[in-house]
Formats: sequence, structure tokens, C-alpha cells
Amino acid sequence: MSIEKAEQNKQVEAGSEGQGAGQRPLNTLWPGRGWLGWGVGLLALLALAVYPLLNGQDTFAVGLLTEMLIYGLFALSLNLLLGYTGLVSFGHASFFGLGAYSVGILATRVENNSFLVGIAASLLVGAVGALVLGFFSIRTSGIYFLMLTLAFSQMLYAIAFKWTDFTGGSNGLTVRTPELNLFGWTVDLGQTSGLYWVTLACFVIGFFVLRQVVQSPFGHSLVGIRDNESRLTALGYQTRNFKLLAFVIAGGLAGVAGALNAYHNGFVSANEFYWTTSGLVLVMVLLGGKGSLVGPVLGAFFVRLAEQFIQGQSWSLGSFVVSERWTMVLGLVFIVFVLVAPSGIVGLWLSLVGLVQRRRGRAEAGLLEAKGGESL
Amino acid sequence: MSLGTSTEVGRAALQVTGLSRNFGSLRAVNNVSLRVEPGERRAIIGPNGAGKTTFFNLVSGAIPVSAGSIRLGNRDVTRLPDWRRVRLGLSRTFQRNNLFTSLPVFENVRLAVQRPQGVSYDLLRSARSHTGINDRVGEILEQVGLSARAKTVVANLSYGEQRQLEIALALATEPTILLLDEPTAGMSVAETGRMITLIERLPPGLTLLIVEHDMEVVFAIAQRITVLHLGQVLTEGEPAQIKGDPQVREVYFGEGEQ
Repeated sequence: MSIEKAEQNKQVEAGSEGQGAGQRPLNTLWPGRGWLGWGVGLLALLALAVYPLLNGQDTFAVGLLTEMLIYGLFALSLNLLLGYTGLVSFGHASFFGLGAYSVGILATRVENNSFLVGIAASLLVGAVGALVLGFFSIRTSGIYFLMLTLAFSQMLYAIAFKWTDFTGGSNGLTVRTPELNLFGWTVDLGQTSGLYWVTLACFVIGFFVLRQVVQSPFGHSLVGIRDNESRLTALGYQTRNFKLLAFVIAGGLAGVAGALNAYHNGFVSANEFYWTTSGLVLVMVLLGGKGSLVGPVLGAFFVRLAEQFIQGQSWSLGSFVVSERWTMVLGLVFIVFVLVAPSGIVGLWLSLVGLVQRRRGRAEAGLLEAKGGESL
Repeated sequence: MSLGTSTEVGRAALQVTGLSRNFGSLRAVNNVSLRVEPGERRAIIGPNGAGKTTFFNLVSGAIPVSAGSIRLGNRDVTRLPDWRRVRLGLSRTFQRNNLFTSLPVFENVRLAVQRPQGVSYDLLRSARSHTGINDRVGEILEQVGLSARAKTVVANLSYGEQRQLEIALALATEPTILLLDEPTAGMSVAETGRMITLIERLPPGLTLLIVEHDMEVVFAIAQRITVLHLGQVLTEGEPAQIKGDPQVREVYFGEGEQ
């Protein structure tokens, strides 16, 4: 009964939205698209952009926002694989780490670093790394793909940890943030708000790059792979190339996120490659909701904010101090989400909107009945 | 049309020679040879387990052959992967609906259309702005009678509509040879009638191979019929010949059809 209702509503919705709406994959439909979506997005962007002006002394908050944006970009890049292409990668830290070490090694070997060169290098190294690892990984699928991506990232971890001459080994590398000169205008990245604004710019560019990708015919092909890869092959697609290109795009953007993180921390360590980094970003995407652009960002923001909140509390049960057990709390939250809201925060929002629409639809139907149903 | 007499002249659309496929000790397809002329409508019939679907899977490249060769026009495609054969004009539908179930009908067809149009790698424009592609999708939906369902997610289509969409996807790849694997399986009488009309209206230049259980459908569509039995070609001929063939009656119609 409720399925019929939902179907009816879908028809009504499609009818009123015109030709374009139904041509989009439904699962990427964000209910606030159109002017409402743009409005909310612009407001959020504006708020993020002016925050340091209003509260610039609070370097802790600005630093936290920087971290949220970095992980937002990182999660977005993974989502191209996980949410759109259906590739469950458990080694996305590979590219995050490659980006981080790119700027780390540049910082230790090259005088007079430029920020733009660092970002370009991390983009390139991340993308090339993804090309190489992807070349092997996409030959497998399912659990084997997952294990292979994990194995590659752990290999990189071992290299970063052992190759002391090049990577600093267990000491890591110190990264001094270079200057950024844009058209004669210098941004002081040593200041928290300077780096924050640059990170925000990178995040926004990354967001719109991915938005373009998923709305392009190529992005639609990726969704086809996720939905039914063998059928796409039977339509004449060589799906391997599509997966590899998706890998390269995701790897490049993850590399940029890694570089920004290195600048933010002023430090690079082998932990960037460690499987917990891959796991954390995977959790962010799943908590936010895979398969939409907003979901992973919300997931990353949520995880980072919740971490700060929990660690700031003094709750304890006997000797169990909650603030010292953040990962355990995150694990519990994750379990609840997987069981109750498997489509994440976006899924929760969608079912809420669906509920409201259904109720409104019912009210309208009632109104029509009262009028004799003439206008249908 | 007596296509049978022209076998030695011109180039066949599809030429299969000595095709075999073993599953363990079972010879599902055993030394099958077959020649289909351009524009021909050929039905392949046979009782359950005759190897019809295996034969289709071999021709489309879904599974590798054990022996024999497959030629499309003048090209040997025996070792080519399935996606390459599609690009050479060989397209198929599936016996069990094989669609992009979480996507709307329009999107299903668009995926099929954008590849032969060469834009499936396009990253710079949005799919919605490719109006040429979208118009072509509209035409195909019109052709198979699904225009009204363009926005419906495939999972919400009726079974018969999903069968229609199977054909739409196959047509959208711009084939010269179309393999239809039991297009009316599981359909109601009314749906079957619509499907026959749809198939009859396909462009006459399109070569058609159809596996079908429903004899009415076969006799409505086919110009020639090949009968498979236990993986081998039992006989081949025009519908009237096949109807009267005592061997065919024994292995095929004898098994409960009459």
C-alpha cells in the first residue's frame, strides 16, 4: 500500500518537474536541488567564508573548520568510487598519503616552496599513484578489490615507515607552509585563517569538479557500472577504462586533501597511509550517505565535530572515561546508522522529506476529492 | 522470399562454423553450423536443454567457445570480448531481464545511446545538455512504446514493460544483428501481441535471431527456422517445412505441445 503511494507521488513529482528531472539517477536527487539547494549551499559557503573575519582569534575553531573541509574533500573523492562507481576501496589513504608526502618531500628538498607547486605536485602524484594501483586493483572485484586496495596502502605505509632517508621514517617530515602569491597578492598561509581560506577554495573547486564529473555522460556511465556492470559491457562499454579513470580522478583529489592536511598539521607521518585513515574516510562517506555529493561532506563534518564534542566532555562511567574512547563512540554511532539509517544522513533527510511530501500529497488528494477531482 | 537459395552468394550477416561448447562432460552445443543472411528473420527453436541460450551466449561472447568459429560479416569474432562484438553491430537481449534496475527508464536507454554516439567519456558537458542523445532516447522509447514511462525507475515497471526495455537497450546500440532471447517469456497474451507487433516493425535491414518457446510468435516472425536438439542442429528450413517435419514433431511437439 505504502509502495503504491510512493509510486504515485513519484509520478506527480515527475510530472510537475518537467523533462529534466526524471533523467537524473534518482538516488542522486537531493530534495533541495534547484533554487533551494543553491540557496542553502551559497549561504553555507558564505558563512564558512566570513567565519574567520567574525571570530578570527579563535584559531582552534578555524583549525577545526579547516580539518572538516580537508576531510570533506577526502570523503568526496572516495565517494566517486564508492557511491557512484560501486567500488568499495579500503585503501583510499594511499592517495591521501601520497599527496601529503609530496609536499613533505618538497618541503625538505626544495628551497622557496610555492604553495601552488605543492598542490599541483600532490594532485599529480595522487593521480599517477591511482593510475598504477588502479591498473591492478580494477582487475578484481568485490572482496578481492577491497583486500588489494588495502594491501597497496599498507605497502605504502611500510615504505613510508622504513625508508628513513627519503620519508623521514618514524620521525615523519616537518612541513613549513610556503607562501602563496596570487597575481601579486600574498596570502599568509602561516596564519590559521589564511590556510583556512585556501583550503575552502580547494574544497569548493574539488566539489564542483566532482559535480561536473557525476553530471557528465562519463559520470552516468559510472553509475551504470555500479548498477549493473555486465549489462553495460553488453552495451559495448569497456568498463575497465571507466573505472580506471574514476580511480585517477579520485586519487588526484585525495592527494590534494592529503597535501592540505600536511600543511595544516605542519607535519607528515606514515600514519597518513595507515588503514585506519582509509577506514575513517570510509565511515565518513557511509555516515553521510554515499551516492550524493552532499552526503560525504556532511559525514566528514559530522565525524570531526562529534569527535571534538565527545573529547570535550568529562563523562565517565567508573574508570571508563568517554572522552578517551572516541573511536568506540564512533563505532557505536556507525553501528546504529548501519542498522537504522543505512543511507546515512542524506537518507534520513530524504525519508523525512518523503514523509512530508506524502502527507502533503494526501492532503491535496483530499482537497481534489472535495472539488470532485476535476483538475486531474 | 526464398533466402535459402541465396546461401552461396553475397556475404552472410552471421556465419557460425562447427561451434561447440562443453560444460564438464556435457556438450551443451555440439558442432553447430549456421548461416544467417543480412536482413533475415531467423528463429532458433528446440526443447528445453537443446542448447539455445548457450548458443546465444557463445555468439554474443558472454562465454568462450570450446571449438568452432563465429564470423560477423567478413570479420572473425570468435576470440573477441563481448563489448567488442557489440561495437561491430551485434546486440542481444536477455532471457531474464538484465537492466539498470535502480535507474529510470530514460537513463537506461541513454546509457545505451551515448556509447555508439561516442560521448560516454565526455567529462566536460552535462549529460542533460546533449540534446541530440536525449532526442534519440526519446525516439527509441517511442519505438518500443515506453515514452509514457520515461521517468519511472525500472524496478517499478511491470514485467512486460521491462521486456520492452530490454529491446530498447539492444536497439539503442545501433545493431546490424539483433539476438532476442525469448522476448515474450512470461508475458500475458496481450503483452505478447504487442511484442510481436514491435518486432515486426523493426527496420527490415536488421538481421534478427530469435530464441522462442511460443510457437505462435515463432511462426509470426520467422522466415527460416533452425531446430536444435541436444546441442546439435536437427534441421533447418522455412516455417511450413518445419511444421510438417516428422522428426521435429517427434522431438519438439511430441513433448507436450500437442
